[in-house]
Amino acid sequence: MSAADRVACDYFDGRSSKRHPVTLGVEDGHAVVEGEGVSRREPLQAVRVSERMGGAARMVSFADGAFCEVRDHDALDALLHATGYRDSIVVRMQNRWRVAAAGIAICAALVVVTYLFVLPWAADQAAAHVPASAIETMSNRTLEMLDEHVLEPSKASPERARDLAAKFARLSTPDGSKIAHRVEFRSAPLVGPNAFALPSGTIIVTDELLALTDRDDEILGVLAHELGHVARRHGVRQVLQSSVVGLFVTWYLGDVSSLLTAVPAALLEARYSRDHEREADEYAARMLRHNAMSPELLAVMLGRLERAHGSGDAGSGTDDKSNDRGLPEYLSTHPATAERIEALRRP
Amino acid sequence: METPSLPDAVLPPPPPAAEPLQFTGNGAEYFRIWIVNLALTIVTLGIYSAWAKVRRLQYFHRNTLLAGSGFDYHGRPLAILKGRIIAVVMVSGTNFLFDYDPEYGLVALVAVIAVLPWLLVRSIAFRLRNTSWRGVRFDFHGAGLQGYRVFLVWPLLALVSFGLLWPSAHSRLVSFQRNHAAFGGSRFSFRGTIGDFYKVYLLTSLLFSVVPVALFALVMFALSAGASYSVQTIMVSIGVVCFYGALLSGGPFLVSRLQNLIWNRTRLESHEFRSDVKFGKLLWITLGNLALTIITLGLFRPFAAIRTARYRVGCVTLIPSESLEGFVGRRIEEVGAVGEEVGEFLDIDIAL
Repeated sequence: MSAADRVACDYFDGRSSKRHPVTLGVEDGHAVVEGEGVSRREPLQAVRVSERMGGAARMVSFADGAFCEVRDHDALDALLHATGYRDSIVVRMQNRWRVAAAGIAICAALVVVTYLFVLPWAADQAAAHVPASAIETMSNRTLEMLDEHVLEPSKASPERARDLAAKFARLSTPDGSKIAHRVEFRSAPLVGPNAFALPSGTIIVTDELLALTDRDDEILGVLAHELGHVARRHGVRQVLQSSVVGLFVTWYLGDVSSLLTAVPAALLEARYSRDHEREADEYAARMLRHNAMSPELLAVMLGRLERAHGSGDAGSGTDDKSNDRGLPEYLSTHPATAERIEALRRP
Repeated sequence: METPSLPDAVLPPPPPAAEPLQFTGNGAEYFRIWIVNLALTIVTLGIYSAWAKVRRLQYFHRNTLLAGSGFDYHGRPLAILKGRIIAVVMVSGTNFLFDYDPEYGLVALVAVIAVLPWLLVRSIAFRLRNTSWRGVRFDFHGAGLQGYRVFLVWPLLALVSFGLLWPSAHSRLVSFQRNHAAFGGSRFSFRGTIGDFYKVYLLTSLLFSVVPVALFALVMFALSAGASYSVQTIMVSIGVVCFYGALLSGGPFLVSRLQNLIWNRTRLESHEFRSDVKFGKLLWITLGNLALTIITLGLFRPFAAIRTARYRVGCVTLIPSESLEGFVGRRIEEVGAVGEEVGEFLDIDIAL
């Protein structure tokens, strides 16, 4: 082998930090290192080569810990090629943009599957294990806060209120199970017509919602929707899912600021609440049918709510105070009302 | 022919030139390594993560150059995998026991906390003993028992003092790490004082929490005092900008000051180090990384890691007191990777 096939590199003996400029070559199945004060000849089987890692130096090491640090990649590749050495499959993959694209696809698939299926499933499982006392405390605190800032005592007729609660209590749930709940009435000029459920089973109905209709059956439709949220533990699941999404986003982006990370996290969480609205609608439809009532009652009420909020896609009277008008469907926390009404009217 | 002895041969040799550390990693290159290994980790349900970790560390070590030679990482993937499995069993076992019976869970938690300092000391040793430069390994001489003071007693004191003692705890942690570290047979030493750490932390909290809070108070005062509408608008804008600015820049400020403090007070025998991380530069890099990571839905992350490493590594210079060719290695005892992996699992970062 000619001197031209030798690779210039640094040799270290593995014991001291002294650098020896040498050349590395291969002669009849032996690695040969030659330089000032260094002369080694080792069988190739006893020599190990570190994998190619971009532009970083590669180490050609001997059994006693001595090694050559090689930076001339082309020359080393030629030398290795002559010995029949082949890069490992992972190293070859790391060098290809096409494989990198496949890698992106796999990672994206994992994120999407986790987000769409794994996390909601896990939150559902975990929600069942959250102690009732914790849910009770959380809900009571929320209601106290709302009573202090947003809600006022109900001015609606106590008879109608009592009547409604009693009628709703007489309805049976689709699967016949008893779900602990309590219907409360409040005046809420700031919120307008609305109803929402706390995880503990407390369902708040605003006077403004009562004023939308004289037909109690329609209100029962809304209550059934809210009971759906309670039955499916949406409140607790939402808290769990949001925490996981928030933690992941914060961790991934580094610890800098929870403010910037709050935006992507909020966008990601919006989907979960839309799913919950659909689930609650389905629950209400089944419950109404189960009690020989029509899902149309809720559909009519959704229409009334939409008109009352005066927008193409209002918070639809359930849970939400926000006005989602003008937002594309994937950004909005509620499915479009028209879509929900249509779903309820489907037989 | 005999070389005539020159008169200046008896003079001590001139001190060697300063050797800046250099980072030669490249974002596109590292991106491919990162994504391929991440995908393999997913496909193998996490098992490949040990190999991925070794590659990541090797990439960063081998691309860090001092005096023309790279560092290297020698951790073995199987040792790391074993450590990871034990870490998972420890943490999930404790969780499981809590579900089963809170009393057992509590006992397990206390047991984990009791062995944690010892494990963290082993973690430092694992990392250092598997790092080399020019074939000479780093080493760590800290005993497991000493870890209890810096990893348990002082953090607890910092906790009960609502963080007031944290700079002191941090100072002791760094001293412990550095004073017991070695490169071959040469010892590192750390001369930083508790006062140095208090200075950095006080300055950080002054600039990035006290000032914004004061500004916020001023804004509230302006609002309540019934200033004119335009004045109010300006005040509120100033307040918001300061608040966000403080929140975003506090981290890079602290990181830059701490790196400078720690390296400027570190010695390897009589070799000294200089670190000159500029806050503005680091802030710019950090903000850019954050924005680009969000815009690229996370794909910028490996590029961000390279950018940060290039700057932070490049800010450190070794001031040799004599030739760097004379370091001699010692036989190094192998350490298990359990400590390292438990630490990582619990997200305890003791690197620096």
